[in-house]
Amino acid sequence: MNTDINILYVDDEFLNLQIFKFNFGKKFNVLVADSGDEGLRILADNASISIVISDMKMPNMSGLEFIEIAKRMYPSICFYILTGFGMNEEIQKAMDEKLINRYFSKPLNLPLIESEILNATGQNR
Amino acid sequence: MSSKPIVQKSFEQLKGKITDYILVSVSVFAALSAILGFFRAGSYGNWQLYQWQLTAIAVFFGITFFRKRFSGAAKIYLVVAIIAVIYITGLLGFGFFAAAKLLITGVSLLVAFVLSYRKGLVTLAVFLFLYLLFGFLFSVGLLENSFDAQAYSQDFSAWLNDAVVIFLASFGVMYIGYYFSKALTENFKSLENKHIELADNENKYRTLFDSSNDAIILIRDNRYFDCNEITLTMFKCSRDYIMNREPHEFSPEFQPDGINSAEKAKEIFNLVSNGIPQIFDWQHIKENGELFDVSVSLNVIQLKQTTYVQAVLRDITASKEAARRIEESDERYKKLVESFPDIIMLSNLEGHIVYGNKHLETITGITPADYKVLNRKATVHPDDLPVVRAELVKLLSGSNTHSEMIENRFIDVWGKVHWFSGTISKVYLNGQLHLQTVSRDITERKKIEEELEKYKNSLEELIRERTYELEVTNEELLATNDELFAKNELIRVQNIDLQRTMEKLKKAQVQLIQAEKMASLGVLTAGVAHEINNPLNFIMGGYEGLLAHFTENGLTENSDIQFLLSTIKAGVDRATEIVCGLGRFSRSTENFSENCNIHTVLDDCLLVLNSSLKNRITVEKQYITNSVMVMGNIGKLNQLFINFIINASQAIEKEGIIILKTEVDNDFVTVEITDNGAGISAENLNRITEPFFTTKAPGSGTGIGLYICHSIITEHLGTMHFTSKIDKGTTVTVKLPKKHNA
Repeated sequence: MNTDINILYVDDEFLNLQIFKFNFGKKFNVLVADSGDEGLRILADNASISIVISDMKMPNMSGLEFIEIAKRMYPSICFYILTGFGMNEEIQKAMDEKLINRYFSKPLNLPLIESEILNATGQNR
Repeated sequence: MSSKPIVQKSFEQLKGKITDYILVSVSVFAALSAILGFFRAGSYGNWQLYQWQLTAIAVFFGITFFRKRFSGAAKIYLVVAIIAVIYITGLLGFGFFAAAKLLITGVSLLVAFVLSYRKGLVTLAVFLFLYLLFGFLFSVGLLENSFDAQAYSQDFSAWLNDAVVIFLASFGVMYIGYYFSKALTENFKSLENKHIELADNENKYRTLFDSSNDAIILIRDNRYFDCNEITLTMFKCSRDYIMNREPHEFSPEFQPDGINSAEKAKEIFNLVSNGIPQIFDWQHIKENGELFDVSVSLNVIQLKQTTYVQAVLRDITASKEAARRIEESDERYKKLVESFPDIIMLSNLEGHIVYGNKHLETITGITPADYKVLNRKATVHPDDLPVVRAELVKLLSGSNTHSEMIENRFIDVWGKVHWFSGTISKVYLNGQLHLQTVSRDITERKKIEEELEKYKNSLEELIRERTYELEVTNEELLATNDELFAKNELIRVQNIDLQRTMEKLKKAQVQLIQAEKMASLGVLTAGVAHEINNPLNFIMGGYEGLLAHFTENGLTENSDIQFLLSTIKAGVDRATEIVCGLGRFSRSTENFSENCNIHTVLDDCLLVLNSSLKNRITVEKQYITNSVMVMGNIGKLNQLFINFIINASQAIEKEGIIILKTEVDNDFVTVEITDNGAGISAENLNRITEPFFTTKAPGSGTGIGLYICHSIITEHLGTMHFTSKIDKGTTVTVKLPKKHNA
């Protein structure tokens, strides 16, 4: 229905990526990456991505580190954190600096994320 | 001429002398013969011959007269020639009866003796030939006697003439013989004497050589050639050890100066052979291997065209040892004098210092440069000079070897005045009278003495003053005593304060420990929560996917599917809720401005404690309907209520009920936790918030739970209150400031 919205989801857990794709794949065009590095590559190849959702805790590069780099290169993209941790100071700081729009907790809440995506892309347009 | 033995004159001289004597004696007899000849010539009428003979005799006289002017050989030849003339004339005149033929023996002997044996033989041969020639001439009748032989032999003058000639010849032979034998005898004697003298000398030199205390060695071609006995004693060796060996072969490899012995010896021998005598010290090795030092003197000497080096070795081991001992003794005395704590000084009668130990310089500043200066800057204090002079005069004029103890002031080179105490002694050095001064610097002592004197004088005054002061002080002390009592009281109060502070500190320590524990727990639970959230995400994602799938295919109407899906959802929700609660519970921030929903906090506590409560205790929630917000730290509030609920549950022995009740008024949120358990006695109720107070058995409770609760409530600016009845139960009432939504 809104397959013209391109979303990148970054998580080091294979099952998380699969489930995300399964649940959102019919509504949006979902791309996945299993690391921050991979995410940056995909961003470079796909200029149409408007939403990026990333896990927090990943090997090598944390979600916030990845977002910090990506935000500098693609300031128009909306970034989100989807994490198993609750709210913490790091995330609070990222929100204060407008690095991310907001954060979601695991396990994922489909309607909440979907409405936020639609909201964000709707505003963008 | 007799002053010296004949042998010491040359043989030539002897010959000359004999020649001259013969010339004189022959001249005398020739004169006699000439007189006789005159008469015989008259008798036998051969004047011609007589003239010849006379001429010859005259020449002979001439030679004799001038004998000093002719050389020995020339005189002999002339004598021989003249005798030959007389001889020939005699034979011509008298033939067989010529007396001159007797001269053959004398002339030959004379020539043989004075000139040479060969010339003597030649002379003899010539004269015999002439004799035989005349004999032949007479025998063949070419010559004949002018006189009657018979008559001639009866003429006495002929006999006389013959006698003169015989005497002359015989005398000459005897004379020569006499002188020869005399010369020979003397020669032998002198040789004998010489021999004895030589033997004597040999003996003398040998004794000198052998009895010398020094080793004397002859060295040829750098090798020992001969040596005296002492050499062997010195080396404690047999001759074989040193003979025909080079000196460095029985020396250590290196001399004490570190130079190689062989090279050094070579160098020295080079210098000696160039005629430069060498005197030096050397180290040798005895045959038994012992080292010893010698002083060596080397000289070149010439013996029978052979060049030797004469070495004289003196064993100086003993003198070296002595020198070392003297040095040691010297060192000892020097140390003794230098380390002596007082000034020691030697001076002569002119006032020159001969020696001073180091204290002389350090105390008075007199350096060796000042020793010969008479008006030194450092000197006896002018006021004390008479005392010192008097003592000096007394010492020098008296028989005492040292003076009385003298105390005097002394001004050093820097102008500082010292007090010295010391004595002056008479000392003889190399036969000369010197003065030895030993002085001690007693300036400090003098100062103390003076001060003591002063003290003594003022002591009475002091005692009077002190007595008065003591009285005053006594009164003061009494006053002070009262003050002290007051201060003592103060200290007691302070002590109590300190004890309180101690307790506070103890509490703070406990809190720190607990905080640290909670922080660790927080980190742990946060990690666990995250790890559980991922699998929950899988389940939730899967559930959502299935739900979408069943909805699309219209299968949601199936009641079984509906039930199963709702079961999964409920499970995930519950697990999510637990993990969420854990996360909240374990937060370790120090932030006290979080928005805390009291109901959520209480629910979280129940969630965590669910397993320990269920089946035994019923929890009854009496919450007010609206959510109630408090400002504070979620983690700490969780900790607070969980403590109260645990206490309540532990108060219930078997089964019971816990009621959680919330109320709100204008300023405070009130939470009541009530149990129907054992209750707390009145006396314990006052102490339950003290740290480490517990009624539980050792090991099952720390006694700090309620104390921490009290701390947390204080931090949140709240209060708590206990009401309890034994066997009825306990109610805790907590009041926390309400968060205003302004």
